[in-house]
Amino acid sequence: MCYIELHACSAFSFLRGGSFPEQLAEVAAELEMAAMALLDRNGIYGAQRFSVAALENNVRPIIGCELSMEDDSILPVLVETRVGYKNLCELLTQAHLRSEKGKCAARWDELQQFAKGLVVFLGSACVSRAGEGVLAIANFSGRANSMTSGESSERLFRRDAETSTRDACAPQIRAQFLIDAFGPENVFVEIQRHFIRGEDRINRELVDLARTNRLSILATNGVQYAKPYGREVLDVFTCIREHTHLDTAGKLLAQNAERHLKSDREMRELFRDLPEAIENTSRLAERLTFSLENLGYEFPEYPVPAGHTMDSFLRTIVWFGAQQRYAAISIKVKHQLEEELALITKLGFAGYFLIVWDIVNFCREHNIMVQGRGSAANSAVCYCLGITPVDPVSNHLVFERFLNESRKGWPDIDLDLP
Amino acid sequence: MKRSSLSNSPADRQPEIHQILAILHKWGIHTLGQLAALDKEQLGARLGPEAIRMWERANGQSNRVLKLVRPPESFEESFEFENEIETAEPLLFMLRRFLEQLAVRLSAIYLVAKELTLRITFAGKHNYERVFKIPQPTNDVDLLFRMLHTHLENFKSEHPIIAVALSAQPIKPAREQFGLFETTLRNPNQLYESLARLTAFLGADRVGTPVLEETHRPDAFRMEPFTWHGLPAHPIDKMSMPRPALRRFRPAAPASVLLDEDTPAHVRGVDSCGKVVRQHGPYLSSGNWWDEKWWTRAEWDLQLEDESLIRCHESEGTWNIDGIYD
Repeated sequence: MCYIELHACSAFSFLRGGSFPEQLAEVAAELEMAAMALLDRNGIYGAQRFSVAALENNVRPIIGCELSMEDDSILPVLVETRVGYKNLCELLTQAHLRSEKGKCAARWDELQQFAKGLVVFLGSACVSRAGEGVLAIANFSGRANSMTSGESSERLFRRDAETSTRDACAPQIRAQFLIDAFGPENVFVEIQRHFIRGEDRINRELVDLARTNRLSILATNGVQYAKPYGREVLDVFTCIREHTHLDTAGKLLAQNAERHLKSDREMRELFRDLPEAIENTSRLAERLTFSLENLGYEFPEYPVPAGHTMDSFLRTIVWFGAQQRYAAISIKVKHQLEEELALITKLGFAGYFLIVWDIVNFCREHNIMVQGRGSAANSAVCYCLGITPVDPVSNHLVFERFLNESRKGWPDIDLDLP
Repeated sequence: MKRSSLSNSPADRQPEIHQILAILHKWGIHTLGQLAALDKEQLGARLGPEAIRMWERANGQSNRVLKLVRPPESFEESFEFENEIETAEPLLFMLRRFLEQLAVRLSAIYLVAKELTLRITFAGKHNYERVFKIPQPTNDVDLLFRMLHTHLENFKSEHPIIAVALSAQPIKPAREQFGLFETTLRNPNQLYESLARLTAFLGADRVGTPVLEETHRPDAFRMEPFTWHGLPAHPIDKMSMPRPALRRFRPAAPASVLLDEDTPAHVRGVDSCGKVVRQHGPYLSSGNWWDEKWWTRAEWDLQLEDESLIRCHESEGTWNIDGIYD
């Protein structure tokens, strides 16, 4: 079982990542990584580009994100299923809607509502607040013992949050809260090693935390750039983010260049005392089957008159339009229209054509100039619906260039509007 | 009271005045004579009290008291040499004369000099400027001259001097009474002079107060000019975990380290020598990649067979022992 990087962020983590998703995917392929996860900060903006690039490089893309929580801690989240993707998007939308631009804060108490289909990491960034590093974890032992038996973790967590923000960061409380919200099989304790003084102590605490709660340990490298030289880009980004310059940024800059994608061999060497942390990356990656290719997207339905389906309504207005367009409907035209309508029905695109037809009608009724263009002009249906002005039959245009059975995704009817 | 008086300041009335002027222009009133010819009461009824004030000014019925503004007194002496000078003597002679004149002028109005600015113009038309902060403001010519003299002793230039200027920043003499247990420098000026001599002898970057730099580079510091009153205390992080004390060697002691599979196996230094029985590391750090001060180092904590615990690092192929843990 090879190491899979399950915590990488790209330049789509605004000023927190030094490489494009494509670069990460390429380097993952160079390192012969079977899969890789992209977790950008407070968004999945880079997921599409990453997915395309990863698939081109024979790397299976895994989608997730780093959630900024209300107490400034960071919760890495991975998507396991389509429901999880929906939940993550909803969670992000809610968090962004109630925060000012550029600041996003998810609430701990809403996690349970959106937990299905998601996997979370409990790491040092999750149990400590930004800027405080390991301080919060120092309270770990004391807090672990303070939990009374029988009291639910959520109640405890709420009580804790009310009394003290610092105490709320206690790792044991947080671990129990995440276990209750997501289920023990969906909570992993994340260990990172970057050759930095002091991280050993944090990692020891995290391993103890995992063993106490019977959670799986997961090795990640918290990747912020594809290759070591990406650290320089990241340092410059940090300066931009913090409104400073390199000479005065001091400890805001990275301490070393270890947050790059590492090979299976390098990571195994780094975690030779915790081999299960490496093995668990493959096991978890196998579970995370969701991909953006399988979103199950459905186009909005177009309201049709009673007694009609979208297909029958489209057929009706197409034939009506054909009578307007052609003086006499030739066999060739009839054959072409039947062929196109059959394919549209088969692919389930009737609603799409009706919506575009509706938009064009609205424009005409309101004296807005509108004109269909591009490959849509190859469609006799579009011509009869008044979307395009050129007769594709008499001009011998090839319909398949616009729409064919093997085409993936939605047809695009381009409209020129002033 | 204060608020109302502030709101009546001319600056606050500017928008209103502009508004009135716009209305007057619409009425066809473009000159002061036309404004003065209008009926005062009618004008006030239509445009308000500000228009009345404008009418009164146009008719010469309002007075504005002139305020006497004295230009700030400048304590500067300068001289352009008829012939270019190449030795310090004529320069020092002029500077002493400047100081005497400045001292007399300052003493006459009960002020003392807190800062001197020396400007020297060279034949190449470029200037040299140096500011001398006087630790304890004074008009003592001998003392001030010694300060300039000390600095100029080691002063060298490729071009001859054609002009010199000296300006003084005045301040009221300090009247300070210290508490019973409060100490002060017996003679701050003498200290300053000593520091100036040391700076001239060693270089400006080697005299002063060392201040730790905010960087990942361990033990990095910069020199800041010495101040008697002390720098703000470095905040102590009370929440951080207790750590073993490290007695640092400054500078770090050179050592030779024998590696076994990239990890230190044997150390030989001046004070520490022996087989490594346990090690932690490496802790990698690097910085300043954007300039010539680029650095990189790999630190190790090593336990030697004599049970001593040392910190050492490797940088650009050389090993040094940073210190010993107590």
